[in-house]
Amino acid sequence: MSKDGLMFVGACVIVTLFFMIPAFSFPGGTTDGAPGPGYFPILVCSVILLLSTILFIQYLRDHKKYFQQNETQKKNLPKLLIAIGAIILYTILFMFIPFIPLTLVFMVFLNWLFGRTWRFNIIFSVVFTGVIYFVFNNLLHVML
Amino acid sequence: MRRRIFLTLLVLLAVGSAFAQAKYPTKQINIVVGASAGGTSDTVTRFLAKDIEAQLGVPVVVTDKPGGSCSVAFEYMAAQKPDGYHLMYMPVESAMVKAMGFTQLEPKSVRYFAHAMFLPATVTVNSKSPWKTFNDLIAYAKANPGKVTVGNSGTGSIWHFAAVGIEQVCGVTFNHVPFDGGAAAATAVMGGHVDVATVAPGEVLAGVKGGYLRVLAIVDTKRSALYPDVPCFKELGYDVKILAWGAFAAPAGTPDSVISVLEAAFSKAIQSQGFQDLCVKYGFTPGYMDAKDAQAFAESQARWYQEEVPKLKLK
Amino acid sequence: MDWIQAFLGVLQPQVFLYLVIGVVSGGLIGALPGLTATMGVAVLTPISFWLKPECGFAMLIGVYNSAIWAGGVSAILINTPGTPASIASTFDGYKLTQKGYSALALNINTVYSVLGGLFSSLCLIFFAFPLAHFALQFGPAEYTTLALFGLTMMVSVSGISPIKGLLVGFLGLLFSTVGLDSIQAYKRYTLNNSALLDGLNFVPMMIGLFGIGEILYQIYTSDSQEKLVVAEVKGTKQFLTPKEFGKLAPANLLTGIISVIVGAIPGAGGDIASIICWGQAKKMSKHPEEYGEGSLEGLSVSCTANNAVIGGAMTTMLSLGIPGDAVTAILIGSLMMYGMTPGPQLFIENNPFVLTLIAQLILANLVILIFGLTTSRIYPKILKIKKTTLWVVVIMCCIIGSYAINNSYVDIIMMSVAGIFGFILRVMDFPQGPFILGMLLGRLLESNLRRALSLTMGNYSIFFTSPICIVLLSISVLSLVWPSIKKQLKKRAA
Repeated sequence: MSKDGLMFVGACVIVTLFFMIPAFSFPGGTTDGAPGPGYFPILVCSVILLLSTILFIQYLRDHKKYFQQNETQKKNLPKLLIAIGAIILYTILFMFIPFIPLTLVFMVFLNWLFGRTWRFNIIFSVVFTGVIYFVFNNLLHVML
Repeated sequence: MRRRIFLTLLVLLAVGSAFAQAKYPTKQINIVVGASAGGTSDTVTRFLAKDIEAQLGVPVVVTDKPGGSCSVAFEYMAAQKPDGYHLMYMPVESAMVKAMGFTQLEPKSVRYFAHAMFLPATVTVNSKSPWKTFNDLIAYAKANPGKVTVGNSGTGSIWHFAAVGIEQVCGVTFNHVPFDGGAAAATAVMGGHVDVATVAPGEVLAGVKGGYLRVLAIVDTKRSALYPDVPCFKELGYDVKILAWGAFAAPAGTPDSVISVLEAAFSKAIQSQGFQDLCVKYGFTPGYMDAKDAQAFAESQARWYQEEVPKLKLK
Repeated sequence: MDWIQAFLGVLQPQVFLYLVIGVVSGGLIGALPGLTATMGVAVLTPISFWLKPECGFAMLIGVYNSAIWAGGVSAILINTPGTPASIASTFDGYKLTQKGYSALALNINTVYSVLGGLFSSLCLIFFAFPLAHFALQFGPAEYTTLALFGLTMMVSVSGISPIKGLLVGFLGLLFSTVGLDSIQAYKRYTLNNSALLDGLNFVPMMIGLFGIGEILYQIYTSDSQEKLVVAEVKGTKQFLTPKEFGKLAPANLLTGIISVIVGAIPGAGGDIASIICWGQAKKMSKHPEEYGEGSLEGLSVSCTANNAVIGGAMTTMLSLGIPGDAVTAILIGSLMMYGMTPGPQLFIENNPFVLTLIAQLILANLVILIFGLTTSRIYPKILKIKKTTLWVVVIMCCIIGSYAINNSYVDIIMMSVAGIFGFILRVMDFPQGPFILGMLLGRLLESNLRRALSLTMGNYSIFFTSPICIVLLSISVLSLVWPSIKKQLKKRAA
């Protein structure tokens, strides 16, 4: 039995149900016989549920541990989770905080997380933020 | 003495504020477009932006924020500071999105300051089709209700309404087939997959020039400069209710002084020879309106769609 | 005679200069994840209006071709497709980089992109009208079967476990249903957010899945003891031998033909073409097991495919005035700005200009060849910088790039979610390719299926009466059963 595998299948089923259940209450097809908006999602969801079942059985026989296979990965896990958290936080704050200060902090944080020297960290972050701001805001007219 | 100081201050304040008003614009003006690059909205806005830039002496940057028939850009613009530096190109969809349930915003929520042009629908068929005139088509459609397939640029889009409007005034029933955009609908007519397309004049121009398509009528009160031989709806004896259009607006609360600067600049740009030429090339009908008229027009359109959309039974 | 003039016209210093400017800026735009060819052309279009038509178009054609080519560069070096058309180049290209053959992979990308581009230019010269008329035959029913054929490629791009690939692929299809449904404009899974009305934007999902997913995987698996450079460049081999070149020829010729046709069909572009061709070439290859593990053939096919689409898309644009993809839609807009209406009439009225366009297309490819081969030694130096530097750079490029596409906040959040999803897929040995394929084909399949049925009042027989449908359905079935037939044949032979 592969625990991670079963969890993945479980997550797939939950996501699929999130799509499938509302689909049954979508309006029906048009009067001319074309199927309605729920037709395609329900079809796709049914196939996913079928495939999930097959995979579920496969994982019951499988004994592979996908996460935490070796020492390196175990050691890197905190770093990974912090990086993911930082990326998500950055993308959410992107809406509310002006680009330059937010990006500077984000980049200094990432460089620190990846263990770079402070000198490199500061110079790199300032220069790179400036380059990105110039290229996107001034050359490509993206509203940052 | 004190009174005098007070008066002087008052005068200074008045002069100062007048000065501050005269200073608009001092920095870059942004115009958002609720559609992708290369489309009608984007082309019109970029063209006028160049003119405005020259007139006001500040950079004018056009940004595309496509999504939800312009409602994404609409929501973005309405939430900006009302300082005159955030404007938006308002297509006809801006009067429809509330009725469609895409957003809570409507023309009343913002300040229109210039109306630029109108864009009529064409009634276009394949050049191999048996219908030589609009009346041929209507006669066939009356005899065979629901048989004629009409391609439009998407359910609830302006060209869908155009086809519905034709159904109403001519007393016929079509089989409406939505496509992903007007060009796709025109292509489907060229390939013979649908009978008719009700899309913009520019979208069928290549097909007409190449002999693949035939325009039967222009859904407008005037003939189109692109197709001088094609009768307009008024000539055919029908009433026209549905036209696409384009205008410009700023967030609610933008001061009158700023609006009047924008109004003057856009009035000049829209009535310039260059823009009139652009209109001819793309098949638009030039139709400048000032701030007051543009606002009133947009609001009256919104009321109309508020009544008509539920009749489509989309939801 | 006209041709000589057209070429001489393009070789005028001024026009040629703008062509080179276009190629160089396209090279940068395409190589940055998130900056697509569409965006490059859109950004440069307003600038081109200040120029003479032939100069403006030289620049736009340069950007278009070069951005598609350069999309392969980042696909090969950092496993992130620079443009959607280079998704399939990640499958083999990145594996070659990991093995130390980045220079070879980059040169293959350049040479085959250029060959694809030149082949499609020739098709444009000789078969523009027949091709365009064939493309017109594609109505809703034909698109539906084309999308179904595309779906059968899920199995090929799945790697070792078809079940896993199919599951991921159908999840992609499911995610493509978010947004207004394209027939009844009903709001599906939009969570009352207007930014979701048009569905999940494909490009940010792709960037996240491949780019961020790969970086997170590297963070997770990098040993700090190991020398922290991305990849050693050990292979001295930089070019294919003539013999290898000959071996790759048949697969690439077929790819070129398929891609030109796919490109000519409006609404189906380089992204779909390159995955279909890669999957098809894998099925027909003598060594399908090498595909996805650094196969030279696989890489060359995907590179040929994405640039061969350009000529196809230009075909429908020039001969019928119909956009074959998003870029040609913008190009039509700028042609109209110059007062020219693309279409059959353009061929007659402005014939010298059409010849100039085609000459520019050919020259742009030659410039890319020179530019690509000279820079292929420089690009791999990127890989010698410390891994952690590259991580930060790629993460930033992915985030800002996905915002830049539509100036949308929702896009960057979707991008980071897709990144985490991509990482989980990698760890769990699931392929990412099918998910992207599902997202690409979902809308095409669903909207055309329902459109076709609304045209026929719900009668499915339309799919079995059109000749194109019958052919596409048969090869779909054939491509599903072919691997097992091949096995049987081998057994019998043995």
